[in-house]
Order: sequence, then structure tokens, then C-alpha cells
Amino acid sequence: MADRFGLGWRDDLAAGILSNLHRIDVLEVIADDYFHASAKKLRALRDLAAQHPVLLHAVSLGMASTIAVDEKRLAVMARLCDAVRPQAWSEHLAFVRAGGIEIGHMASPPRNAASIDATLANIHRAAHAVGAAPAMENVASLIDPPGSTIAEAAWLASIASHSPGGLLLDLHNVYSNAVNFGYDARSLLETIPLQHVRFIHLAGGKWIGNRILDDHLHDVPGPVYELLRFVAEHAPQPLTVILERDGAYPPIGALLAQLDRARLAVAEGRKAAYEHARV
Amino acid sequence: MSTPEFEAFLARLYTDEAARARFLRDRLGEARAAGLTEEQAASLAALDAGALQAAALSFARKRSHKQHHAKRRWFGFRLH
Repeated sequence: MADRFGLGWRDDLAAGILSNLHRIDVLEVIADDYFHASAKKLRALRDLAAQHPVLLHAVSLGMASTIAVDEKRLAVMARLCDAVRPQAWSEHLAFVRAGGIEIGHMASPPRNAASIDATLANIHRAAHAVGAAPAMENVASLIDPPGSTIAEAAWLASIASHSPGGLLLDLHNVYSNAVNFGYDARSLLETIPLQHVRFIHLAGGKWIGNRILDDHLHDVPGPVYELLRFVAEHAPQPLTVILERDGAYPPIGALLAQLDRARLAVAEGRKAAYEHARV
Repeated sequence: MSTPEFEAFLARLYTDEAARARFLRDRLGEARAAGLTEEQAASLAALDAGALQAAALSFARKRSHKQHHAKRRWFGFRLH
């Protein structure tokens, strides 16, 4: 299989995506948008998945938690996967609720031995319920999670090494956290086992003071393409690279140009790996 | 160090402005009152207040955005 480059499906981008499918290898659809969808909407997604590679991306299961992932939510995810037959599905290394409180977004979990064990247990629960293990995505954070005794890189490495569905590596999240917490993004990539990366997310954010907010409302910044090149150089397996955009949508041509730039970064990384191997 | 109680305490800090204000006035006291361990309380005492406020604001905006879109979808469903 070759490297693939795709876009996150958003209803606002539908016309632009559908008229440019020949330039988009794969589509990533937010699973939660279809958890309670009408039969008509579900049929449309199933038809799309029958014609073009589709991945499902869940955002609200809360897998990185000492609380067992809710079996009813997993059952809904399983039904959706049965109906749509995606090529793969993914979730985040985040907790989203606790003690009856919905945080409303993905919170970075305390990074410690207990959260590694609990997260892996949830991943196995999800794999059993859905029939396929999710690829797990690293999340961005504005706050260094309290209760952490393990560095982010080592925590991610432990999860990646033992997670049957592999890693969805969000490079803007890596970049944002490196800026927000003062470490070198490349050193994180050198620590995690890149051979377990199956998917990559690209996105953009904005500066708020001396921190980066991963808001998916801006273009992919230059340093993220450099990280992509690095991963392509050091991860020999085929990669699926997805560009995420959640609003402030530019013309579809601008998103496709970012995909082309991602293709170039991966090609450069692959070329560098080839030249290293020849020496 | 991670427990469901600790995660619940974090979830409250991230979403409840009054609880956050009480915590920032007396970090150890609030953590102990919630039944957290001394180790958990110590980790919370070292929390960056500015980062906590920024994260809470970001979460609040996400919740508001989701409510807005849920309303839009619901009205769309009703009208079509």
C-alpha cells in the first residue's frame, strides 16, 4: 500500500470534496456526527464509504481514563462501523467526562502508570466491542496535566507499543505541546516507536500569549510539515495523512494545496530514508 | 496517581468557574476536602493557574460551539 493523503469530511466542505475526489485518497468522518443520524444520513455515508475509502474518527468515548469506557457508547460505535464498514476507526488519548461532568472536549489525562494501564484496558474493551481496535491519537493541551509522573513522550511510547490498533499521530498536537511545555518536538518523535504510526493528522492553530491553541481554524504551519518529513524519513510503513479543518474554511483549493505540500514533505522524507539506506 | 475521583476533580476544575476560584484560593484545602490523596493534592498545588484558566476557557468555548451546532441541527431536522 502507498502513502495516502486525505481530508476530514465536514458538511461545509462537501461540495468541494466531492468535486475533487480524484485528488483526495481518503476521507475521515467524525463518527459522533452519525451516532444518532437519520436513516437517510447514514445511508449517504454508507454509499460514500462504498465508493471511496472512509475512516471513522470518534471524539467522545473518553478512552484515556481510569473509568471504564461506557459500553452503551461502544455499542453505538460498533453499530456505526457495521453499517458504514470504514477501513479503520480511531479515538483520542483523552478523558472527556468524570464524576458525571462532561468536559465538552478532550482533556489530556494525567500521565502515569495507572493511566497507561487503564487506557490500554479501555482500548481492549473497545476493540472487543467494535470488532477492530482503534488507532489512538495524541491530544494537544494548554495545561500540563496534574498527576503526571511520566513525560508525554514516554507515556505515548508505552501506549503505542501495546495498542493493537496503532497510533494516529497528530503532528500539530505534537508541535503545540512542544511549544506549550517547552520541549523539542523532534525529541518526542525520536522517543515514540514510529513503526506503530498508521495515521497522521495535520492541522493549524493560533497563538494565545506564549501558548498555541489547537483550534483547527488555521492553515498547517511550516514546522508541522517539517515534522511530517521527519516521520516519513523514519517510519518505513505506508502512512495515511489527514488534513483536519473545523471552521474558517478557505476555498477547497487552499486545502488541496496543503495536501500537496504534505505529499511533498512525505516524498522528501522517503527520499532521505532511501539515500540513508544506500550509504 | 490516576483515579476516577482525581479525574472527577479535574473535570470540575475545568468546567466549574466557582469551583475553580475556590481551588485557586486554597488548593490543598479543596483537594483534601474532595478526599484526594496527599500525592494528588501536591500535584494540584503545583498547577499553573494561567494554564488552568486558558484550558477552562477553551473547554467552555468548545461546549458553547457544540450547543450552537446541536441547536442548528435540531432546527434543521424540524424544518426539513
